Amino acid sequence: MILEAKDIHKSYSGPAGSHVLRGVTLSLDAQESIAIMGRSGEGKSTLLQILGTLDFPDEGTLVIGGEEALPSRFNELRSQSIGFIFQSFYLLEDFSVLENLLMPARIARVPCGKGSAAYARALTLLERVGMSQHAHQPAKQLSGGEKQRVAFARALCMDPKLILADEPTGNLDYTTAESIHHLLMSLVKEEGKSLVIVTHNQELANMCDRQYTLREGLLHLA
Amino acid sequence: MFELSVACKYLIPRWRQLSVSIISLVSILVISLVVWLILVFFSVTNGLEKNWVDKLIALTAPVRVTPTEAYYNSYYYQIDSISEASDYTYQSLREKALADGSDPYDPDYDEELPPFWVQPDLDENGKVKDLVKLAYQAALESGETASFFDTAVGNLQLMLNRNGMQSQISQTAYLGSFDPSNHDLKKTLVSLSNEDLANQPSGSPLAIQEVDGKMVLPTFPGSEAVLLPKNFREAGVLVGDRGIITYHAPTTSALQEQQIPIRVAGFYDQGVIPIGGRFVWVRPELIAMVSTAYDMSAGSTSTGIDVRFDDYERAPEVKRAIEQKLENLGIAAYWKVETFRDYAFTKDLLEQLMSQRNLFSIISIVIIIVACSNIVSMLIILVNDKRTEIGILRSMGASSKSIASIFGFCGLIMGLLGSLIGIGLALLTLQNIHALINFISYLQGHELFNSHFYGEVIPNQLSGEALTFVTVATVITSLISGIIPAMKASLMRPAEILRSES
Repeated sequence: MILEAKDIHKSYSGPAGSHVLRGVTLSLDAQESIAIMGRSGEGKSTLLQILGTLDFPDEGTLVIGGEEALPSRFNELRSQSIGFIFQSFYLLEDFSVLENLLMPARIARVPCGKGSAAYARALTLLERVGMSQHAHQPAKQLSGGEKQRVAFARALCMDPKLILADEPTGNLDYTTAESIHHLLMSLVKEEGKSLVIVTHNQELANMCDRQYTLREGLLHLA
Repeated sequence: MFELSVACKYLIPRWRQLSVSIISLVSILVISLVVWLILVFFSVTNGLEKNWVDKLIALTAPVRVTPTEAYYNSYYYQIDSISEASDYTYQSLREKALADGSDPYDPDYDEELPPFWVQPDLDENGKVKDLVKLAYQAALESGETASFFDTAVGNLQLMLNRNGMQSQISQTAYLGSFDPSNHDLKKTLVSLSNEDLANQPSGSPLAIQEVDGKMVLPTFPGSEAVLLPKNFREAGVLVGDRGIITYHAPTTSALQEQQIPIRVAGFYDQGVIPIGGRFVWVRPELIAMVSTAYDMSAGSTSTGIDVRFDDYERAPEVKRAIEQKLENLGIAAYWKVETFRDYAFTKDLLEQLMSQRNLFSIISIVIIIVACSNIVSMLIILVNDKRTEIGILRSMGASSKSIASIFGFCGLIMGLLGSLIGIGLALLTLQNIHALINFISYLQGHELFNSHFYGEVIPNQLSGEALTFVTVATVITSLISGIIPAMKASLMRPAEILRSES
């Protein structure tokens, strides 16, 4: 089991405080992919952030890679075990494409100079997403589709077991999105990763092994 | 180290971060100017102070050992006045050092000791402790050289004969014993002018000379050589000019004026010693002559042991060593050990210099803090600008400590960059300090640094002490400036950032 979330609760305080997650339970095996769908504001992104240790649940437990994800391990888990793909790509605009890919390795204090394993893997991944000719180009000069390709490669660079994708093609046109869907799914399969996708795109959801809908704070198998 | 490389990237000026870039450049510029100002000011003032201290030490010594009231009241000093072997006169330290024994009193020959006569201080063999020889030995063992000094007061009269016109200069003078072994004195000597050379008869040099590494006063038949402070030269006195030193000595009936003929053998730069303009170097024998007219314990003359060594910063250490030795010998009460910072005639001046330096140090720190406060504003704007990137870095596993380090490095880099530019500017300014001084003097219509007070040459060596001070102060202040923005950045929660940006 790569991921196991049990009875996850999350509320937001404030005047319009809401109980967005009311006991979500979810498990994910190795090389398995699931899609989480639902209306806007149902808490899909919140759930994904909790699964990715970017946020804390109010209640419930989270197990990643067979070990409980405690706050003291959050940085390590994000660095080594989880790869994120965001709707807004979130590349570091001041850095080149290659520097973006190598950043997780540098954060993890892994050698990433020329000739290092991380450097070689970054180049391989860039080639696989068709971006090797842009390796030294500043990230800010890329188009939306190109940025998302780079973001895929970056998410895989540290060879994590789990990929979490939040509306990965939400900001792309239909044609580009379609090619990106295929690229994402093929990469995940070839690399043998587990995938959780939050999406509104039924076509992308259909490519996953299982589909869930988040409704009234609970996950329902579609 | 990824934190450092990210910090460097963030500090590169960019059009889309115009406000951050402008504030960064202004911050670095202000720090550079502050560092430049502090370095130039401290380098020049430290150099001036060093010159003054060098001159002071050349004219005195880094450490002096002088007799106390207890010495003058001691059996050892008083016994000379009733001993035939001492010619019934008090003996100077120099004479005491040359005496055969420590007790000249002969009960078979000299008159009986009066009742209540002070008791002698005896050593373990029952002999009177030789206070001068013991103190001299302690001084010599603690420093590199030790020599006796004497001063006395006389009246100096110089007769100037220029192109048939005669004039006279007369003033009270402090006479100091010239010490040929004092190598430092050479540094203060004023070189001879053409007028000096023209005033000397050919083939018989009248000026002070260096022979076998020692400064030697020339000998003139029938007159004593004297070395005058340079203000006499500025008053028109030349090497070879004649004059007299007068003093009053008691005779059987009254005080009678005594005259000693003198000739000027050279000039020295007295620096800023308050009595420097009246301090005349003469042979110790001349002082001994003048001193016989006075009771040495009455304060009209002074005497002691000059202890010299190259590194005058060791003065407190040498002072402690001498005091310890005197203590061990049981004669500490008879001697006062002082460093050049304690001398009554220079203490106020050196303390004032120190106070000014401390005051400017405080002002400098305040200026640096003000300059670095720009860094805080700039970094807070930068943190807000880089909010999304902080979230991205956190999602890739960067710890809050790493995020704080990035912005801490930004502050540090700006401080260091400002310091480096300031140091470069200071070096450039110090290299051209004389041109700059001349220019400012020209603008204001009078000398920027009066040569009487500051010397002929303004120091232009970068002060290591100032460099250390300003670098450490700037680095610490810029680091502290980075703390608030760094904390702000590190406390940002990645989920909140990414949620608000999506």
